[in-house]
Amino acid sequence: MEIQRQIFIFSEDITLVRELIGAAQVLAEGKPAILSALVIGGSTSVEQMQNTGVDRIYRLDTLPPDCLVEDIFQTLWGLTREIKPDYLVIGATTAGRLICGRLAARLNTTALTDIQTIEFDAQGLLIRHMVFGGGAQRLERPLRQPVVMTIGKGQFESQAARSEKVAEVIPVAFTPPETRAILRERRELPPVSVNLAEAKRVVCPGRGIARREDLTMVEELARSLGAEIACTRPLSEGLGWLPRERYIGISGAYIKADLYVGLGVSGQVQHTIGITDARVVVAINRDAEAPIFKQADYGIVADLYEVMPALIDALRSA
Amino acid sequence: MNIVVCLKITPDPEDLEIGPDGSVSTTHAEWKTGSFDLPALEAGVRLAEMHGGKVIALSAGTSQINQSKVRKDILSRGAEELVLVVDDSLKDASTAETALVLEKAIRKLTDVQLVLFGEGSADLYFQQTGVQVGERLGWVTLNAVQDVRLLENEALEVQRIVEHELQVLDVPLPAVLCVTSDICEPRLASMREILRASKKTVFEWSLSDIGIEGLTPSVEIVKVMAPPRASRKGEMLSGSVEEMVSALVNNLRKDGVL
Ligand SMILES: Cc1cc2nc3c(=O)[nH]c(=O)nc-3n(C[C@H](O)[C@H](O)[C@H](O)COP(=O)(O)OP(=O)(O)OC[C@H]3O[C@@H](n4cnc5c(N)ncnc54)[C@H](O)[C@@H]3O)c2cc1C
Ligand SMILES: Nc1ncnc2c1ncn2[C@@H]1O[C@H](COP(=O)(O)O)[C@@H](O)[C@H]1O
Repeated sequence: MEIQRQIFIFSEDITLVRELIGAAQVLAEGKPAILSALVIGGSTSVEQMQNTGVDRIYRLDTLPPDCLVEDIFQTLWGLTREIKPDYLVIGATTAGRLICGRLAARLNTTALTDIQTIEFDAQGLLIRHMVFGGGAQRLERPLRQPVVMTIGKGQFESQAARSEKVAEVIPVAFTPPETRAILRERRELPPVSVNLAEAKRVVCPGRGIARREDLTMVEELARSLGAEIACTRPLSEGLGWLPRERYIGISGAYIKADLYVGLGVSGQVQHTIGITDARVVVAINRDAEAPIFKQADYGIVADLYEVMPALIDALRSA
Repeated sequence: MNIVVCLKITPDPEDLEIGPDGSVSTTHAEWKTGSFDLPALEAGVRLAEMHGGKVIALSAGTSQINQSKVRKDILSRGAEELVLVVDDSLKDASTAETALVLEKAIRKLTDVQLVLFGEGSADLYFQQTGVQVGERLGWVTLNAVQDVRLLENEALEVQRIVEHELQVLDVPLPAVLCVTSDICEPRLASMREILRASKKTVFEWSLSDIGIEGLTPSVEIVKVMAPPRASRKGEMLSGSVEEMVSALVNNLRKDGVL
């Protein structure tokens, strides 16, 4: 009999578990495999894991109050040594990235991050993910076992099939780390002001906007278009003119709006990857050579400070 | 105490060339320090300025990282020393190989209490190398660090942004911190610092200098290609600003997106 593949999944964010299971099912290649998961929390978390195809649920009740969720590492490590997984599949959260890297280092293997596709050829596993901040995609073959990976958001959810299988629930105890950071305080950040992914129209100022005050004109344009305001990364991080959840791109939001209007955006791929699914792209930039024009449906080469008021007028009189 | 800041020197992602067949080339790209690594250097330099100690910049890569412009740029931003681990087998190194090399280099340096990493390298942006180095060293390791202060008792107070939560933590030294790109704004080097930079020390180490006999790759890069792009109309509007704007509004209306 063939040895069954062992796949071990973990995410502290229970909403990611379905896509991890989807990825695990692709990794099983249709052959019987043993799928184990470590879950933090009570019976509701366990219920969400049932009938998903998971065979074993290792359940950890809670973490000590001044511990970080990352401190689960030692517990996870213990289970890894016991299960000896072929694949370790981790949710791509901040904590997940930390845990993934530590596991990879301890296993003396590499970490494959934000995986977009998983396939197999005659020589085995091939994965695809982005490099150069979205400027290129790379197909890679891991050369060491086990393979440690994080899964790109939204890539594998549809692959997770329901299953009649009822998982065995195994309680586990928390193994404290030897040295650790002490959590003194945690504060909820103010709720995010916008969900750009759902916006129908988006106006996106870039560094072509010279002064923070000028954003009021952008706001006026957004109002006349019925659009949300987004931005490029430098306007948010760096300048701090707009909150993080408003920047579009590889490390920010992906939009699927009907309309995107870029104002003084150069069109670097790290940004434009986030507008691939926009229906109509408008670019306004005074540099005719700006790369954004190659990725636009309509281009206007002009000073945005002349175009904005004219556009507001035209929309108003229309 | 010495603070090591790890910086990756890469082809500038803005200089990527995409061929008609979807191939990707960096042959003509300028090599420079990743823009998300410079805030880590600035954070390290500010700590050293406030509390004393020395910032040592550390970078590993092929001989292409050893360029005088890049060296000067790093040293004029406040690092006192620069260590380059140069070996051509580091071309396309995965995070595992890079982390091993950085770990061994850090172990060779004396009195290091803190190692800072950027948010992610400019060419890979896997956000992995720092946490792997931390684990290899066996030190307390955190990512997504937004603020660092040195406390009197030789420990750090760290702020971290994790999804929708801000955390304040006490971190014992030695520690490895991967900082966000908005931890602080990198300085522009002054004329004085630029002049001083050429007098600072650059160490060039080989892999055998740090006790590594050879690197075995942990991944094979099978193919690199441009991501699929949406096809766009590419219609450039012409005329006066008023004419272009009215043509735009008409087009958008026709497309049914207004
Ligand atoms: C790993 C990595 C990840 C990244 N992730 C992201 C990301 O998620 N999102 C993101 O946005 N960026 C990201 N970046 C940064 C990205 O590469 C670009 O640097 C950034 O998007 C450029 O922003 P910008 O277009 O606003 O500014 P610039 O590139 O400076 O462009 C400004 C444009 O405005 C034009 N302009 C100036 N004045 C006027 C005027 N008066 N009228 C009209 N036009 C004018 C100029 O011609 C220029 O084209 C990332 C980079 C890396 C390396
Ligand atoms: N070759 C390298 N030399 C020095 N530092 C590096 C190197 N590669 C990565 N780093 C550091 O590790 C961080 C994360 O890199 P990455 O995992 O490639 O995204 C970067 O922001 C750098 O601070």
